[in-house]
Amino acid sequence: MTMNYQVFDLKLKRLIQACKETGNYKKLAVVGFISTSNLVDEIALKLGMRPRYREKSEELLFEYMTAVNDIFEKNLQIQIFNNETINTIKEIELLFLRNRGDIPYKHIKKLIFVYYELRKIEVPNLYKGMTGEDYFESSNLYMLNVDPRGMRQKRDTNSSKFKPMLLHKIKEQERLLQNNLNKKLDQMNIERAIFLKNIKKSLKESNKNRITFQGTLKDNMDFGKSQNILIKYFLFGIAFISLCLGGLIAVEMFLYPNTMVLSNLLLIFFGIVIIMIFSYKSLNKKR
Amino acid sequence: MKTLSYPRLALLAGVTLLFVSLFLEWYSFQVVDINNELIASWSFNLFFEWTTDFPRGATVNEDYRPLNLNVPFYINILFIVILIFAVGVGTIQDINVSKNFSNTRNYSYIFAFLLVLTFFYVVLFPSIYLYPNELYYPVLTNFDSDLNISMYYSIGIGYILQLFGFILVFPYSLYYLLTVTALERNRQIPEIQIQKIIQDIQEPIDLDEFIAEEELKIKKGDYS
Repeated sequence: MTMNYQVFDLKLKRLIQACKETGNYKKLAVVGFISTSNLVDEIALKLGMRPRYREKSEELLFEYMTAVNDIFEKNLQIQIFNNETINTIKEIELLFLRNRGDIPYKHIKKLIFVYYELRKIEVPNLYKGMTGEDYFESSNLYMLNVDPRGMRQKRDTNSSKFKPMLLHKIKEQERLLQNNLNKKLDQMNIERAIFLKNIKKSLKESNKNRITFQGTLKDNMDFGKSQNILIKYFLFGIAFISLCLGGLIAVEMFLYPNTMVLSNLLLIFFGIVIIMIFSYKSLNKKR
Repeated sequence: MKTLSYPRLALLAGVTLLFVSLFLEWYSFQVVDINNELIASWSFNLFFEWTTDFPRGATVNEDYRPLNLNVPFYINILFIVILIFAVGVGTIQDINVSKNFSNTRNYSYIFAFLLVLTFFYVVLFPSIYLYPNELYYPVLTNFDSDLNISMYYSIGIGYILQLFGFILVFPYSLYYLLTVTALERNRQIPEIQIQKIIQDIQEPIDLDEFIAEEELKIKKGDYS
């Protein structure tokens, strides 16, 4: 976890008491929203999602939660956030935005309740290395983990006979996991679900040992950062090539002193480099 | 039909310039006598080496023929192949909405090659092939007082198009490469880095400050 929740809870309790006394519920609403938003971000990032769009086209919290759900429903038929939670957030968030933070205390109570409900989610960290070992030792699928040397070819010829049976077993396991995960998310089960998806895909197609998640690069957490930098790369490209050409001329002047007349050109190229550096910096400041 | 984004349009325009440039003049060398009469003129092309407009047997012109530069033929062919692939990837695939990471990673090698080869033509070509043959870069006039002749050295339209092509293909190619690299790196990202990213993204809240503000209000009896 990124923070010490015990300390946070104590402080939040004190703030609730103080705000109740002063009647400043707006502050409480803001704290409630930021905490919930931070928690949702943490959950989604650990699941490998992109962060919420905040700059240009602001993505509302409930929209972001729906997007996370969509991805996971599409791939594993599981819900990360339940619909009731999303609807509550939607109701409170829209009211919060319309009233600029002034929302009734009963909604703040609901928001804080939702926050604590979200905290109960055991977030599976999908970045953790997943080997698949130990997962199926006690199940009927243990044979999928066995791949001794020299046995692969034999297994390949036999596997076609067992394929339908295996797929059936996998589907059964998947359904069981989906039911469990829709009741309660936990790391072990979600990793198993991904592992099963992987096996099913390998069985259906060739022997690719790879997890294919349906989604675009835009859904990835790194995408947001790289969206507005093409113009910077353009400036960088001009600066880079000007520097190289300037360098070429400098080398030429060193090799052939009769080319000293090219010094003006050298200044122009290095001048372009300086202009591009300043443009790049001013672009950084604007953003 | 889907519209292409500006960076991809720039890429396609750049690739077109790079392709066209290969068949144009890359360097020219001319000699003019004291009466301003052209006595020798040679143009360099990547595929055809030095060519001239003078008729065969014009001895003065032949005397001033620069040495063959011998730019490897296979590099030109490889470059054309890479350009064709780059056009294909640039037209068909948009990295921003790509669904298949492994394909995207494979395509990134095309852009890496494209940048390396363009860099070769723009920067390494003058230093490897022109300088050793005393062919000056980019433009120079040299007057030989003993022979009373002026020699004009100049890069050609092919090289200039190559330069503009590089500037146009550079942003999208680099973007493609860096995005794929970042995604690749983050596929094996350790937990500590994830925590750092989470901290960067989360909005900070100073509960102590809020509590202090409210408690001060209580102390002052300010319940507005």
